[in-house]
Amino acid sequence: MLEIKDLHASVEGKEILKGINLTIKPGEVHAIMGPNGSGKSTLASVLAGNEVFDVTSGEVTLDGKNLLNLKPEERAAEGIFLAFQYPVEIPGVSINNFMKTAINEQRKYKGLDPIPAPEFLKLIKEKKEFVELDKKLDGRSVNQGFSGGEKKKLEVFQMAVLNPKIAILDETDSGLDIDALRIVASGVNKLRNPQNSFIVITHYQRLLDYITPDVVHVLYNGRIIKTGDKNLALELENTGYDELKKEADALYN
Amino acid sequence: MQKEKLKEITDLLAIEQSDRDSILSFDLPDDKSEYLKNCSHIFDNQDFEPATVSNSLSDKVVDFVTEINSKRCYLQNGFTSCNFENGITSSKIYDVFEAIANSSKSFSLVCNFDGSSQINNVEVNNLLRGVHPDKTLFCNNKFSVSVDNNQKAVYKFLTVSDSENPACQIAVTNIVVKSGAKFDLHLLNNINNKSSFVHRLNVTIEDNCEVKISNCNFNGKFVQTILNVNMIGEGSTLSAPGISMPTDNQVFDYLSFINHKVSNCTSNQKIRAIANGNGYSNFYGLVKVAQDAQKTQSDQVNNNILLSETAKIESKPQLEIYADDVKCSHGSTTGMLDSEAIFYMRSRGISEKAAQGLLIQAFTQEIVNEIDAENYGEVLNSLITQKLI
Repeated sequence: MLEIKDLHASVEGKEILKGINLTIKPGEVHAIMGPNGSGKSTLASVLAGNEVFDVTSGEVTLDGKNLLNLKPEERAAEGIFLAFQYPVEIPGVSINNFMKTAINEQRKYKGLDPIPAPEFLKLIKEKKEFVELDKKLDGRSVNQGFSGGEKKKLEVFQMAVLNPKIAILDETDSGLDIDALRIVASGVNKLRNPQNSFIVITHYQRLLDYITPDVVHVLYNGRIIKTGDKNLALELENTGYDELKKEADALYN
Repeated sequence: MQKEKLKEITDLLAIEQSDRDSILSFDLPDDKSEYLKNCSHIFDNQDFEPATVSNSLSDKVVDFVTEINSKRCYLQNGFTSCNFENGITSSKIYDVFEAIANSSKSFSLVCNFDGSSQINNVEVNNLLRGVHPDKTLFCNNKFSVSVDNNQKAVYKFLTVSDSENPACQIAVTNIVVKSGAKFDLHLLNNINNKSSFVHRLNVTIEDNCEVKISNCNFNGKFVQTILNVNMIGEGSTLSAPGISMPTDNQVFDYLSFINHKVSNCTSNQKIRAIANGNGYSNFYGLVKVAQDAQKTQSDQVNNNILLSETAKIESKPQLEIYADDVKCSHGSTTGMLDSEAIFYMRSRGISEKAAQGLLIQAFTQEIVNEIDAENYGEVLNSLITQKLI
């Protein structure tokens, strides 16, 4: 479904991604781990189309369609969703207005009419319950004044509403207490189905206790240096990245 | 430069001396050079002709009718659109309006809310309709509004144009709000890009009044609003929200002087501008708190957004305080839209344009809410949306 080939990307002339290769099939959950500064969040941003980063070479296709020529909003309509590490506060834009605009813009891209109001309200209500989003947040502006946990829940809520093919969770576990982590993870688990896939970016094994990955990759210095099954995450928790880093440094320098 | 040009125009059209003084007596900011550079071209190289009037009302005016139950007065090029012969000195249009023509070139409209009629909600549809593509139609008007003791009134003054020909109006509105009255004044300027409108308002507020003055600028070559408020009675409040959205080569200028002359009054100004293209917005606001005006509360804030590299915004909020027991604030911000917020929205499938639109609407919505006039918010929101397309 998602195919990344030899992807290179840089910011302000500094190369961050140095040839990423990754294939994700429908229904799979891939975890990407790695030390700070290895390029995990950059990969997420590049996939979502953040123009801060320059893609210098390589290709990314979703169901055969080249994503790199598409704008962020077009990628979203094609089925890419990025759950932000630091969700952005948007004062004055209500959650409902935001979601309605997003749904209708995606529908417009697909040549569909705007969503009928009753259908929209039903969808919103259903998904709010799904992520246990606090009722007191109704009518509030997007992320404004939200706690860290509420922000992450809102990301999962948006994901549930927009129902993407590929969801990228960029350190969704950071800043979460154990209860919020459980809700976020169970939200993701409930959304898992044979048609969609997830890329879970995380520092820690902790999130993977709740979301079981099919494949675990270790990203270091802009390259995937090791790929394994869920046990790789457990191993890393015990050994740390040092051994792998040494091997990789020897190989590439 | 601008002053000289205005003087020339007023001389040319033989405006009454008192009106002329009133038009020319506004004070320009201290630092005139940059300011005048932006304004002076407005009146350069223009060939003026006196206003004339035709009888038909256009559909566009009717579009601007916002209140179902309000009384309306239609002005065309500064005249009421009913037949108006030279020499008629006074004509009752509606229960609350009185129109006075002093000559074929000067015209005043008087509006009294004295409680004798049941009418407390009026709209002036001030239509500018230039006739020639290369000759600027000129009109000069004087308006008076008085709100008697304890009366409640809403007065909308909507300046629009329905032709693409140039026109220029210079207007003075004198307003007296008497003891205990509640008065909302809403100014809306949406004229074509060849036309200019200079509007000076002198507002006197007596004691225990609640006054709101909103000023929204959407289109026009040059729109200047000079608001001069004297708070002369205790216990009154003034709120003055405003929105300016210059695009293309539009110049919108808002000069406000709020004089707190007595104690225990409140004033609150919230002005927001969004400039795009080569648009220019200026806000020059002075709040003066006299020595006797203890316990004054005054807030003035001007927030601006620049949408293009070539748009320009100037802002000068000022406070002059001579009393020692007051609570006053003033501030100004100017910036671009938050690029992270735009990317966040785009990553959800919202196009860049729509994302900008959402942010700007959020930015203006607070002001629209504060203006809070029945059926008027929709008019403002639709004009805001039109400006975003």
